[in-house]
Amino acid sequence: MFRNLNFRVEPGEFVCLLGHSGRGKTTLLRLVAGLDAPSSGELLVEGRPVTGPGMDRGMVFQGASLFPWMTLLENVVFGVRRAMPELSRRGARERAAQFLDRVELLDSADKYPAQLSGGMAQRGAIARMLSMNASIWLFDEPFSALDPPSRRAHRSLVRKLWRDQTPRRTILFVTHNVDEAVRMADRILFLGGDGEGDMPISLKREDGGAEGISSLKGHLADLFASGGPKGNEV
Amino acid sequence: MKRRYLPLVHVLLAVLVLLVLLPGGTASSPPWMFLGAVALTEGLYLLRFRRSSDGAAPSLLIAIFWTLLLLWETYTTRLGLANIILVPTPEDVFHVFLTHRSLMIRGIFSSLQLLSLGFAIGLTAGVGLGLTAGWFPLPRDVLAPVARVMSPIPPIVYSPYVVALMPSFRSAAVVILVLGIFWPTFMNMMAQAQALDRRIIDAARMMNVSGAEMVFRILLPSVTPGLFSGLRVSLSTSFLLLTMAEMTGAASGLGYFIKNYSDYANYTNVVAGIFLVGAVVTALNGVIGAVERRVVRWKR
Repeated sequence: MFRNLNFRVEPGEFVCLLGHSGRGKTTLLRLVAGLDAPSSGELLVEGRPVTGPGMDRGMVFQGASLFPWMTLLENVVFGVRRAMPELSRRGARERAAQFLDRVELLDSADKYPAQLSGGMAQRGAIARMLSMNASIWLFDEPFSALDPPSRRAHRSLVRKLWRDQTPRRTILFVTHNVDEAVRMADRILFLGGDGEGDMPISLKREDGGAEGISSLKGHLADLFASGGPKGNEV
Repeated sequence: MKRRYLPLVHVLLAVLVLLVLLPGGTASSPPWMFLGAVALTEGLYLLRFRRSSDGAAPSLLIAIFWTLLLLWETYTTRLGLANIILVPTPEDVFHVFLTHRSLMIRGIFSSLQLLSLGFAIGLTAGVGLGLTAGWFPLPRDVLAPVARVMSPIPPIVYSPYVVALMPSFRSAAVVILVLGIFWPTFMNMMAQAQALDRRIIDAARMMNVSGAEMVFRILLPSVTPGLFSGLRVSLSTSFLLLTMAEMTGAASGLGYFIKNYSDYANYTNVVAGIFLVGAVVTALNGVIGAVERRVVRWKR
């Protein structure tokens, strides 16, 4: 999938992986998650090579990944008990309820995933990821199926969760949406499309002002245009 | 207006009851068991009627049912046209439930014993091996070709050989039941395990779930809905197998009850036995349905 891919993410950094469909964004994320193994090369998380999934990394998938036979609360309790097996049943439920509260889902705690809207299900998945107390949060196009207003609301929720968390968690957020990447990330890794192997182009948002954002967007739009057929997602 | 159905239904019922009670009928048994069955049916109807939104479907169903009973009653007891050996009166048929009740109850228990043993073995093996084959490539590549050859063989063709091979009729019946339940369950579970949503599995892996926990906390709950829909088919298949088997060599059981009396040309008891099988299968399906509603209430 990739050749000569080489990049580094600092602890506490919010990084968006941006690129056309089929450029391996999701594959890359799954390698970091430990769900797949690289055919060659080395992938280090906190200095140690990745050999499989671990509780230090949590992931929110594209589309529903909550366990459908458990209520929302039971799903989050599941995560809590994986992270803190010593906790009592009651303690785990209380902790899970706090996580649901942080994603504004406490009212729906007893619903089954089939009864939730797409956005609610993704927030439930976020709550379950929070419950694992991982230091790295991985997002795989979590909001691509939502309508634009609710996508915006969910983006700011993720930003807020990240800002409020101490110590700061490291985020790798995969998206094919330039606007999403520019608004959310501190740094954007643009995968593919530069014509020189698979070195990602790293773009940093120096200032959060409107001018910085629009110039970055323009630059990325150019990159997209030069990297093959222009996607309608730009 | 839900209530408008009630008069028609109950006029039919009244005619039926009158016909049964008026003197001059040719039935040889007292009518009380038949009337008891009618009362039970009426009670079930009223329950359904109360629960349904407009009452049309249960009312139509019960009207057809009363009409059929009326025709049966008139044909056998009033017109004098029926061959009373071949077409028994409803009074006589339902009276069998009183006179032969202990034989019937023993038959039910004997059949259910074989059935539950066959289910326990066939389902456990089918679910276990099916999930293994669905999950791991090597067992799948080994077992799938075997399954393709073995599963289309109708289990009933084993029966003459299995009856000769096994030491007793009951053990032979269990073997045939296991064969009838195992392969469909195996195929179903293998397909279910292969069609699992990867994201669910990946989400579980992200939380370090593996091994036995993956099987019992993730895999089994995921395939439970499929298991239950397979269970209903398995139940009718195995009842077919069981009653067929009981008709050949058994000394008790529901199939034996029917076969035995048909050998004596006692068709009154045969018809009663057929009704009994219908009642038992319906009750078992009801139990499976109730368990299913509890276990897979998350699926909607």
